[in-house]
Amino acid sequence: MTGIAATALSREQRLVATFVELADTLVEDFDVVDFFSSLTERVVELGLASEAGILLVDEAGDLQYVAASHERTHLLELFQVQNEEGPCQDCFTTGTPVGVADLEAASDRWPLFAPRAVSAGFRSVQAVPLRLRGDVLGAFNLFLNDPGGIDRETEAVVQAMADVATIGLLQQRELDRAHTVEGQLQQALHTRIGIEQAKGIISEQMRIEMDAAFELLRGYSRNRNRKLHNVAQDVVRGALAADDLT
Amino acid sequence: MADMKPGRIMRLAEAFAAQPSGPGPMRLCAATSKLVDAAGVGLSVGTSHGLLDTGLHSVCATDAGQDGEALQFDLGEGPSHTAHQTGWPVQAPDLECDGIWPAFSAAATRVGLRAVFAFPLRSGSTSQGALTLYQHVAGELTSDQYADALIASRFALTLLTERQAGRPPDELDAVFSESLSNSIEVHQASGIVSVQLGIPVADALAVIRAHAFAEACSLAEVAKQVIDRRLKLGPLSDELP
Repeated sequence: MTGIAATALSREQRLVATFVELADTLVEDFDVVDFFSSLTERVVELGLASEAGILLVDEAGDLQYVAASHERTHLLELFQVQNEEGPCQDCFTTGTPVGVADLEAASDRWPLFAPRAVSAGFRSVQAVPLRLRGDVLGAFNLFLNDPGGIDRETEAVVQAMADVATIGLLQQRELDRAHTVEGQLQQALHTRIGIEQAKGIISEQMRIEMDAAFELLRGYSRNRNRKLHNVAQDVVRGALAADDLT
Repeated sequence: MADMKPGRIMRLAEAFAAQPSGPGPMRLCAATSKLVDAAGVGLSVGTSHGLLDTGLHSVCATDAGQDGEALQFDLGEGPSHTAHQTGWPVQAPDLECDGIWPAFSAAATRVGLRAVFAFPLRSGSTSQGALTLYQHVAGELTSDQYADALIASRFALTLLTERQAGRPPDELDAVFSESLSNSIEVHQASGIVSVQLGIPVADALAVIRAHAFAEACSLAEVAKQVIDRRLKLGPLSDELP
């Protein structure tokens, strides 16, 4: 009995450690692919599945491959994306967990995917959605070498992991958005300042007024079909001289 | 570390909503001034980027924050610059006893400022600018004031970046183009001096600043003289005693 208790405890501890690790990953230097790769590896290490993979929905609303614990799962995930068929696809469409306890009997459901998964050596499969309120951001796919699928307890653990993964994903998307809008402000400020600096440079090089310097700058960028701020930047860093603009 | 209790955020939101309508950044300055009981509050954005290192530009400020913001731009130093460069809040509770920004502290006390507290507009490991509190009396911030100012600085970053979000770079939002309009001639003059001395524009700005400081006049005045070709500056080394 002690042996079983010890095993159970150690598995629980490993699970806790995994969640702590996932939470830590969310703080700094978050990389989506690294994060999901390690998530699939942990699922396998914890014995929740033989192999695991993750698909995420892209900006266009299509599922895309992100990570897998092993190469054969990688190929199976790509196969699902290409053929728009399989447990991940169904899970994504319905927003609910999708499981098949015997893949050899699933050819009706997935005529392309099921035989492919069987020939890769898998006997059962489970997909769990990455959910945010009403939206589904992707799906977490577990592949098993044996028939029977995963039990309810394991499904609950995997769903909890999927929820943590969803938080990580949202945080990353928010960060990306924040970086984008901050970048837009910086670029707009640089643009404005750079044009003024370029006007000063041209006015001194050509001995002309600021207005005339600006006309020169604008005329050149129009003739060359280049953005005004790019031309200004070239002037400021010395790649273009006023003579080049006439 | 300041606590981020929802109550604080609500109080800031209420103070913000109580301000007369107008550009968000200005309302935030006024709301922060009221909330933390600061005489003046200013908001500045940084534009440090390689060759275009032009430091901090004041976006807006309450009346009592104008002098401090202008001085920091003219001198190119001060608590807001340090906060922006280091990414950490900078507290100067008594400018008369300060040795970190000799030029700024002396000039600031002359216009009646005694304490300055600057909070970086931090995003990850980089800073996008600073929210700065100006006081007419010396004294530390209470932890409540500190926490409120910190929350205001986070709010400020979102407010500023959202104004420009989704716009092409050559369509600078009016709030920024108006605030830059005060410094346009300074950047033009930087271009002129960079040609005259054969140095990068960022260095040319430093030369103009040094001259303005030595002559005890504003950056804008020196810039005007340079543009009108009434003043031709020598290299920085000649300016030093």
